[in-house]
Amino acid sequence: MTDFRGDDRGMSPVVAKTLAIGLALLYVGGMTTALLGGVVPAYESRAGGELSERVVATAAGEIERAPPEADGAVEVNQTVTLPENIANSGYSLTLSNGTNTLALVHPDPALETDARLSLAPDIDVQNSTVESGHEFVVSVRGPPGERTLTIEEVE
Amino acid sequence: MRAQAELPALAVAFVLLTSTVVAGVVVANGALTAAERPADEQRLATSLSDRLVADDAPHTARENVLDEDALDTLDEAAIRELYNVPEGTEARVTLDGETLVETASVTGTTVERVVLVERRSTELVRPDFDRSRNVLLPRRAANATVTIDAQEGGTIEQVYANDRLVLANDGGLEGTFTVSLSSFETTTLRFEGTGVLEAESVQIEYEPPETTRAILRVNVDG
Repeated sequence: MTDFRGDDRGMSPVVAKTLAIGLALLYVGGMTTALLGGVVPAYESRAGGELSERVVATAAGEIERAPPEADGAVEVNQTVTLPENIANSGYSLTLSNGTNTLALVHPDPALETDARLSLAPDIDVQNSTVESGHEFVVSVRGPPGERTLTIEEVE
Repeated sequence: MRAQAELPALAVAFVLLTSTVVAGVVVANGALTAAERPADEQRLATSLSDRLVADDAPHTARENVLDEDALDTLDEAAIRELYNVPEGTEARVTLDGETLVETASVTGTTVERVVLVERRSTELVRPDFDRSRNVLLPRRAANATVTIDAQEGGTIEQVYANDRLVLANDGGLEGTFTVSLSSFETTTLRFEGTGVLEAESVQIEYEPPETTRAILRVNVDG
């Protein structure tokens, strides 16, 4: 039995494997931290910012195109489809009277953006809000001179 | 130390993995940068150019036709208030290279449209009634102002535009009248009356529109 006491040759592969496993775990941990801690969130917010700008630009463009160039009373409903989520969370679009602004409201303030609408002077914009996740409808109603424009959710 | 021979292999694997990840991040970065575009600036430029040539804009004669005399009303206040371009966003509008309005120096999105520019000139016709009582208006106009100042010896009782009766008075016409004409055909005015018509007795004023093609360029810097 005493012959085996000083024999530690069998330990060598165990040490080697343990070392390799430890290094691999450290590496994977380091990479994961670097990616998830810095690169991925930064990209997510960059992509989210770009997407929210496009969402607002698309919605604003659709709203600006909705009023028809027709005499007489009109009723126009134009459906617009937009992405459900920006940077993994829902958002809402708010149309406000006065400045004729379409604003995107998002839990992440960095992704909020707005657009001024250029509309014919006789169009009265109604304060209205739609939540993402549904299609929404741009409605223009009324006789010339007092047309109202509002955005509403579809079921 | 023989067994630790796999450590260099591990190091090589890490280097390969790291370079793959870095390459992936670089590609993703490139894709994201390529996808970025000034969406709102483009929308603003398009809608501003749309609104500038709309039928209800204050300086258009009809859709896509600019009224040259009214273009002076286009200034920075109009751009900001009428077309709702927010502060901080700069715009420039040029017509055939000539700047109509510029809020600041602009380098952003450009939208160009082909438009018509309408000029109106006042034309005056004084028929001499030498051989004929027909007066041809050489160019088309939507209306004309006829001033009749009957001289001794002759009265004008009816005025026809292309055989359509436009003015009539059995006792003789006298004064200034506006008659509407068709802008789709050349008009001949015929004066019917009694006696001899003198050369000085009728004066016709009309404003034929003249349209030229031009390029309206809208630049917006978001």
